[in-house]
Amino acid sequence: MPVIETFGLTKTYVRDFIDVEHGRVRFSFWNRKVSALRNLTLSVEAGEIFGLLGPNGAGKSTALKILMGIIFPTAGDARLMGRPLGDRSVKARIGFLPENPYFYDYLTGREFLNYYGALYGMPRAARKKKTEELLELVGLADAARLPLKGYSKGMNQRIGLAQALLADPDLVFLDEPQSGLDPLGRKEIRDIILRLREQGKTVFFSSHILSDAEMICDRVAILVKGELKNIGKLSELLSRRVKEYEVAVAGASKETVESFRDKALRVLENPGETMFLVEKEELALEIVRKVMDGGGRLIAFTPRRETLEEYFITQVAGAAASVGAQL
Amino acid sequence: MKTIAAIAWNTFREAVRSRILYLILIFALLLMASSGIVRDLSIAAHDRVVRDFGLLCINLFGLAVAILVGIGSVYNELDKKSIYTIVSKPIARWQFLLGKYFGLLLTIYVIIFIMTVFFLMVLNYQDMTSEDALIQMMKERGLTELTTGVHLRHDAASAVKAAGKGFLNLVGVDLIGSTRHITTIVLLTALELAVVTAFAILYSSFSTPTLSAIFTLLTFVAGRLNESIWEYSQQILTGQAGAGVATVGGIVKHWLVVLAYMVTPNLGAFRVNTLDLADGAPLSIPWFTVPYGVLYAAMVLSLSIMIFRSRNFK
Repeated sequence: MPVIETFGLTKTYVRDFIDVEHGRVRFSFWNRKVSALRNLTLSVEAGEIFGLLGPNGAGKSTALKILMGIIFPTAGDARLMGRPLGDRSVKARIGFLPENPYFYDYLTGREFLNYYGALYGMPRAARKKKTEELLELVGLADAARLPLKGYSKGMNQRIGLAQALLADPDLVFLDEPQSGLDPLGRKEIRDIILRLREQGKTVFFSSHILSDAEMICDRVAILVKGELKNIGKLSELLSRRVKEYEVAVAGASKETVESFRDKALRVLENPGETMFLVEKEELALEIVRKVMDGGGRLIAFTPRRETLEEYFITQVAGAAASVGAQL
Repeated sequence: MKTIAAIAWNTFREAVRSRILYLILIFALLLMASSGIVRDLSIAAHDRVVRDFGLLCINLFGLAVAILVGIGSVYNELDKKSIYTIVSKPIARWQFLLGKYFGLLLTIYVIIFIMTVFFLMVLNYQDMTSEDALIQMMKERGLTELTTGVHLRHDAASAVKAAGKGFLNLVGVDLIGSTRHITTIVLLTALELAVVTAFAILYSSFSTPTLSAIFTLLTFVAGRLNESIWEYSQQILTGQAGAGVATVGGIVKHWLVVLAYMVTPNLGAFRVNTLDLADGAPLSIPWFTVPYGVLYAAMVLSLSIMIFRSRNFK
């Protein structure tokens, strides 16, 4: 049974008459409607890591806010764990980390988790135990007594993740969980998400960090300008066909390099190493043969498949082109 | 209930960890401590002047807390988006709003309590060190020749004794003349502030802090003038009757004033005319004052909840 189902979710905002956007004052008297999400229909199965991907302003956060009951849809409907949105028995089983979260800067990390535990209705002893466990999990045990106003962006993100996991939720929503984190922090969040899947939990997260999404997602949906462009397993969306071959060699003679320059897609020359990017496997093998015959050696031979990033860019560019054509 | 208590406690904690609350409190206490100057400046009825001055301080500084702390409390949750995580928890929006309201009331009442104890302490201290009272007492006992050059010591022991008496006064024990009924008047002030705080919550559920502060202050002023608004509406009618002509403009004006009377709370209901308050005389408070205050606050909070329930937190 799907744990998340959306049926034609749509959100249209009405812009204020006077609006300050990116530091510029904007007056709108007509055409004040702004479509943030259009007809989003998708479903997520239990135990999945589902990535909602899209560029800035694609409608990812809007979709998450609707599912969390922060805003109401203009049209459409959604169900979480088979129940309508806002059902409190379902809310008790979900965790949510918003994008760039702010938490009460006058509270310490420990007080904050204790307060949110009380909002879940957890008994005092259970709250205390879970708070310590989570502080340890997100690496903030040493900072538990510090006020949140002293937390860095990364620490804020971690305490945010901890509050999302307080009630041992079956379903976790994370809005840009890796935003603002350094590579180490991103890896830690990735590991936590993977651990949640191992525990049988469902993770629904939005991101524009595609490399991370590619590493952990079972399925992804791509949103562009509020519309769902594609949804499916990564193995289905990304072409398994080898797109190009990367051949890195050392000791290639100048004549050899020149003989392949026109046939290769790209040739990069570094001191002691040359890299050829070619489309055909035969050509890649021919380069290897010729270099080795001339006394050189092979450093790396890498067939390259389509990445999520490339696929994503194709989708976004396609959407932009279709909008351009409509205009 | 536990959820509302958790939110209320956090709201209280937020308030007591903010500097503004302490600034208000320190200013209020300093002002009360200086009420001796007000007494010396007054021509007559020294005790009454000091008592009214103290009660005014309690009222106004309670209002200042309701406005300055109350309005920011809800708005900050929306502005800084901590409401996102609150709403995603298994709580209803009305619980959040009620938690905020009771947290604010707790803050206001703690401040009022501290101010009242301090105020009673000041009254007791002044009573103990009142040279006028001592001279009067000596005269009554026929010690007229000793009354010149009477000078009382203002020392720490008197202050400590006054503080102790202040606490006792608060629970109705060992009341001196001027402190009689103060507890009742302060309780009425607390009820009045419960209504004003409900308005502060209402305005901050859909407006910016500046506008909410202005609206709350205007509501307070209009509420205090509520009975005068009614009298004015009657004056308009009487004026028209006297002239023998009822103009459309006059009728519209009358009904607009009546409407203003209807929509503003009658905060005058929580006031006691201290002019008529002879020491020890029983206070005349209509029975419906408390139900009126409670129901009015509940009604305003219900309206806030209705607005808050359908809000999109962008």
